[in-house]
Amino acid sequence: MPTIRLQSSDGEIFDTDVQIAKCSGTIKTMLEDLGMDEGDDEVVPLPNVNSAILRKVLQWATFHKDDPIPVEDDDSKEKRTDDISSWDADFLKVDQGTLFELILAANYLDIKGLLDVTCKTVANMIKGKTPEEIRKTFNIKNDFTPAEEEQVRKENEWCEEK
Amino acid sequence: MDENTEESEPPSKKIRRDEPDASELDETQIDHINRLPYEIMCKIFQLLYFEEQLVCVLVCTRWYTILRSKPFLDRLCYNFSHCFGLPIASDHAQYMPCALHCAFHDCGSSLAKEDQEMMQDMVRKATQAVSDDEPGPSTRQPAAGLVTPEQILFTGELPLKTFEIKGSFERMRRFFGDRLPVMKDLQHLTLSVMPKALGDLRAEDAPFWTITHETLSGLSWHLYANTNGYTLDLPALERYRVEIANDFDLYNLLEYSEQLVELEVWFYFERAMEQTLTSAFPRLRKLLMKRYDEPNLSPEPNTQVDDQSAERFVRGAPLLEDLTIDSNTVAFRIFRAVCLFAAGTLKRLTVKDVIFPRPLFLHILELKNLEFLRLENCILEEGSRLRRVDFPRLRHLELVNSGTCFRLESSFAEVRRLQYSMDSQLSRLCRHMTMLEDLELLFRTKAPIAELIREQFHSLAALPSLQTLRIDGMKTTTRPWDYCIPMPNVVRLVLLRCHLLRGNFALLPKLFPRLKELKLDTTTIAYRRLPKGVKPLEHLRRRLKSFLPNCCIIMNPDCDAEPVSMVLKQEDEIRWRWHLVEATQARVLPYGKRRSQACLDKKMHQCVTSGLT
Repeated sequence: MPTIRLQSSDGEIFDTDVQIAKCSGTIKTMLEDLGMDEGDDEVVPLPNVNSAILRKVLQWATFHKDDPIPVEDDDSKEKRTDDISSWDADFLKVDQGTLFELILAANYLDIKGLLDVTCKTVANMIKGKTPEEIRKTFNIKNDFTPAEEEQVRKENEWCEEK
Repeated sequence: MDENTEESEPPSKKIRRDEPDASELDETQIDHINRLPYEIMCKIFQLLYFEEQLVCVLVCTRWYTILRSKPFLDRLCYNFSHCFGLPIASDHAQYMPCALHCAFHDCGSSLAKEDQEMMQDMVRKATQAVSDDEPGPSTRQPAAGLVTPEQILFTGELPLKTFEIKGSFERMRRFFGDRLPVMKDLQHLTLSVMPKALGDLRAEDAPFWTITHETLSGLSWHLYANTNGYTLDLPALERYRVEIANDFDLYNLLEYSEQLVELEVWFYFERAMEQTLTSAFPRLRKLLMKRYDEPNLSPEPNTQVDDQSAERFVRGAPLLEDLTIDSNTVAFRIFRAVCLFAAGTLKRLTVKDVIFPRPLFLHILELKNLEFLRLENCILEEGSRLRRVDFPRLRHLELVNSGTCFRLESSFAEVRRLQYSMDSQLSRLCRHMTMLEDLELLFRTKAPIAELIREQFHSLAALPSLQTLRIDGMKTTTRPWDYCIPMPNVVRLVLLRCHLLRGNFALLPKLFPRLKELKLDTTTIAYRRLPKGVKPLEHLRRRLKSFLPNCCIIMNPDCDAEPVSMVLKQEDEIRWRWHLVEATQARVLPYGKRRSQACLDKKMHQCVTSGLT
């Protein structure tokens, strides 16, 4: 089985099945554009992803390698965040640092499926909470002044869904 | 503003404080989420419902800025009330600059004369205070930093796409009329006309309003006793809503018949309908026709001449695919012709408030291309429900208080979505409509349904593909959960306008083991004693979370928690509505003037109409 060598930001090399690596749009383009052929011993550097995260990403990609290619969203699609498979849900039971690193990695590597499912996980963490609970969940500092906060509250009263 | 391209994040209003170095902090203290770039934050927020986005706005300045950037503004409508000519506090103007949709209500046209006088007084004071030496309304400028609503709204600088304005006809013409053409981006304009206000000229003396705009494609009138003259100069008009109460309305509609794609028209007099039927609408795709008359009026059957003119009308609109017929008069006049001559194109049909003679209703069987059908308050006269009908493409069916029309049997097996007033057919439809994914049960019927629930509710579990169950109008006395058996396929439960005892929720985890979303919409929860020290809804949300830990719980702000005694009072609907009318001190308008909902304050309107369907 053809493999390529991926190098994480901290220098670790991952020998990876090409088919699995290609679920990343970024790597796929790189391979095609640069004419890197299978069997080349060249290393593909991924300066934005560290080894711990890359390992996770590859684990996800391995499990999902046979998934159909996701179609482009249409606007009418419902806001579904409840369709996370149980494997993914377990896979994403990680601390927040890892979760957000995964999102950044999925974004950089252009892996739509992983980006979707991680974003849904975050959305589910936001849903049904008050602003204070959200801040607490994500350690966000409230940087509104009381006056500004009041202003935003007032503004909210004006806002309706179109 | 110009550096805000669609892709980049708009600058936060505040300068961000220096973030402490992440490595110095304990892992649990780091604000990880705000490391995500703008596009990903957008992606996440777009997975939330509008109400949830409103909550997120309050979290921090960055989230605020993101949620007020372009992709989200498309769904945001600024709704505000003020008086033409009266200066507005400057902070209101602050967040207007990016508004794409706006609804403005002119308080100077308020229904109560006292309010109008008060407004006039305020305007007089505000303008006198700053410019005693500068008489004449045209040159008057309010104090520095203060601007009037029309100065914010109609400069042409706001990127407004849709605009809704509510005020008296004369005031709209005076303050807004000549500024309309400069609002370049405007695509849809809604004019809700209030009655003549203080200081307005009499309709006979007032000048014509020529409504002019180069590119405006949509115009809706919501009229209330308008007798002022107007003409339209709207070369791009495609979508039009009008209530024809006088010859200006009629003339202007007929002028534009050739170019309209969507039309909603209400007729207030016979000739209006007859004359409209003589026009050709070659581009029309979507049509709503309503004759505003006494309910249940039984019109004369069509003469042969009538039939011919209806046929000509339908043939004159060869693209028609979405039709709504409202009232007996319209149905009698055009239903036959529509079924016979528009069957090739018609995909969506809605019929409201019609008592069908059987021969007339039978024509519906011609409509083989229907994908959506809604019958609301329709009654089929003579004989039993129609059997073995065949609508091969029908996927979405809504039968509201129209249980006498169809027998819900295997001929509807392909339907995916059904809205249906609970009646004795429930268990039959559960046996036959096996492809149903989304079922909405309406409990607010005049017929007693408690027994039907007791006997038939268990059959819901027989629907193999049912994912979404919506219940509208449950009362504390109808306890459907007690008669259910578990429905493992249902992932979404929506309770709309329900009254529930707090205890009703304890059964949910057992009945809906895979529930992923529970939505409470305009639903009241009855508490024996309201919990102390915490908002009742918050208390309820926590309790629900403990029952349904894996389920997303959405409560819209119209939900409420009340003591049981209050809820029982609310369930006596007629008395409760009367109570609301008294409590809000609404004025009951003389009959005949009460022509459209526009006259009712929105909230009041909701109170009064959310009752019975």
